[in-house]
Amino acid sequence: MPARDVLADANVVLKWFHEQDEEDVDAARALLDQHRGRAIRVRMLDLTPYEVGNALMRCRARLAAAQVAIVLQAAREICAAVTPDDDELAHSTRLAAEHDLTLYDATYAAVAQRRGAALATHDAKLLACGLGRRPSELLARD
Amino acid sequence: MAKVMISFPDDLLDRIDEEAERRHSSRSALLQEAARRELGWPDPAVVDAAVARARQALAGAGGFESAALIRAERDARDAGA
Repeated sequence: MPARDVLADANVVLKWFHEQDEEDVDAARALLDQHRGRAIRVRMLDLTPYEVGNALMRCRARLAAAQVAIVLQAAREICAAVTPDDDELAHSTRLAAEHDLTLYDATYAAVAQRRGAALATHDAKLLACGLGRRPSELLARD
Repeated sequence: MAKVMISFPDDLLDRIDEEAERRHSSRSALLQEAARRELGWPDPAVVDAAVARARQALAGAGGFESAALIRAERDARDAGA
């Protein structure tokens, strides 16, 4: 059995594949290596491929659709996408209200908490709320 | 590799066989893949191939920081852009 479950934020997933100008890319990829070796089990939200795809197509990257499709398919082959259940969505609303987050952001934390997983993220908002940990911090705890 | 005997409804087994044929695969391979996906344990070879394809796809993407890129997308979404 995997030693630990990890929910990967979209920014962690993207660092698995992209390197130029990235910070902390080694730690994100070390998590991927541990998942590959089944020391941990990494999952992502069902929302994550949409966030990754939109970021690559609409923001600075402006990637072609075919390239984005390859990235999204790869992410889904590497880790399962989980859909929040009713309890997790309810917990998400509480976290969103408590920390002044959007439901999108809060759902990452809610699903991780309810499933006993660590949320791996580089997102400043989630880190500032204490709802997630950088991959380097998760690795240091092993 | 262990062999197991499990029960399936006929219609489900038909669908499994149709899907295996569509993928030019086998019933066993399809069920192994489905079990790995359900358990969150992908085949390491599948991971390696997926990573290689995605890195190749992003090879010409230029420089950016993923946390900033994703946050910009989230903020744009939240602003209704």
